[in-house]
Amino acid sequence: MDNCTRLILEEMASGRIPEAVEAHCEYAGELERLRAYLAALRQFTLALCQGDLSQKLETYGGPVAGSLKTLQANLRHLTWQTKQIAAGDFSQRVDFMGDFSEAFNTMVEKLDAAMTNLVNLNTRDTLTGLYNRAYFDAEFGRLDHGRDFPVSIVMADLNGLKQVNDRHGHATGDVLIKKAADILKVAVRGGDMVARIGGDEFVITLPRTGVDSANVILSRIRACIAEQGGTGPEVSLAVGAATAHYSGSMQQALTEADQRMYHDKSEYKRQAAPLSPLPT
Amino acid sequence: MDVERKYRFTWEQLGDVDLGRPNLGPYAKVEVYRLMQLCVRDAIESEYGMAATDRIFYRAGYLAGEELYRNALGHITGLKDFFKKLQSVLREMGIGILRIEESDLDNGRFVITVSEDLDCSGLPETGYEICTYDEGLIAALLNSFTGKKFDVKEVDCWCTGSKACRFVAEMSE
Ligand SMILES: [Zn+2]
Repeated sequence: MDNCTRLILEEMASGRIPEAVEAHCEYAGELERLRAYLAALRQFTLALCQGDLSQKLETYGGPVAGSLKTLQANLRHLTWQTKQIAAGDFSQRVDFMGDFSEAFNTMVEKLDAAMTNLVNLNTRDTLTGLYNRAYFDAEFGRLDHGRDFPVSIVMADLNGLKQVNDRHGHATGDVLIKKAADILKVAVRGGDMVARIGGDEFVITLPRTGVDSANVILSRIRACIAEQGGTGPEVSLAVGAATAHYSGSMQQALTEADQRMYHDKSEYKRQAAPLSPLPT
Repeated sequence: MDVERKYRFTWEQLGDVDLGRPNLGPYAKVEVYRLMQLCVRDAIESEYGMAATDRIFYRAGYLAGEELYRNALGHITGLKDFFKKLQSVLREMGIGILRIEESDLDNGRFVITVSEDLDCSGLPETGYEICTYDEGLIAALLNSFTGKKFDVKEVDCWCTGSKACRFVAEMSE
């Protein structure tokens, strides 16, 4: 072996990558390819170490380049997953990074739980667990611009809450509100939204529901009120429904449902049904 | 092209596996799948050459991808849902573990990897990418979902030394 080749091999064997292979060396072609390969691996690994995941190692195959490329692909996927999580997708899980996977997944699960908690705090009515006014307003706007028409709206108002509060105290009034909420929850379907938007006011949105189906739901609410069991004050609700058929007409429907509910309420008042006695 | 044919593939041709295999069940060994795919490729290649065989496999994968989209993915609500369902179908069927590196629907570019790929994981290193069928399959899935045409190229493969197949998909129109 000539001296030039021996020096280059020695340099490589000690872990260094020569700058160039002189053309007059023996096996200069093969040595140059090996040198270029090592130099490319060095550049790629250095980039990985510095967090640069954009480098390419396309012309090189083999187990070393292949493994490095797989590591880069995994890190790029992890970056993508993190972006998804940042955008609110807490279902992302890592399953290819050993101990890191477990730590990362625990973090995501905790983040998810904390976010759910926060969202509930901000969107739910604490007494009934129903959606609150703020959430209703946002959802109402979304539906009004959405594609779920016809959308029906049911307004419901608790009869006699003030009297119960005055006669039996607010704790009993709260029981009445909760019972009313439970009745409404049972009467609606999966995709419907029930919200408590005032002390004794509830509203239900029914996406993809026309007049006939809305009337079915209304009858179901009335049936649930008629069949209510349990102890405590008896729930009486004034209800009214209306249907919005196209985008931009939800406010109109809400007003109509409200008017019908008031009509129902005046019937209740006209009949002046005495408040059911409370069990003593 | 007017050629005599035995069939045009439909999903129903997969048959009633429960009825047909009460004892053996729905699974077969990966080797058996590979035995068939590698031998079919060998036979086609010996008759029509490499380039034509690649086209045929891409086309077969494309057909499979269209059918898979229609019959196995269910109702899809958006890009996120698309990847989620695709990941779970590919995993359940034992096709591979799908991971996304880049997804840019606006500019029509996706980079995805498939680990433990049914076609190539563990194959000897030969120096060329082999998953042409998968390229077609992914192209059809993206095409079916977006309504846009995609070209898919496998840039890394188990057969070139990587531990996962990496595919670059680019919108072609
Ligand atoms: Zn491959």
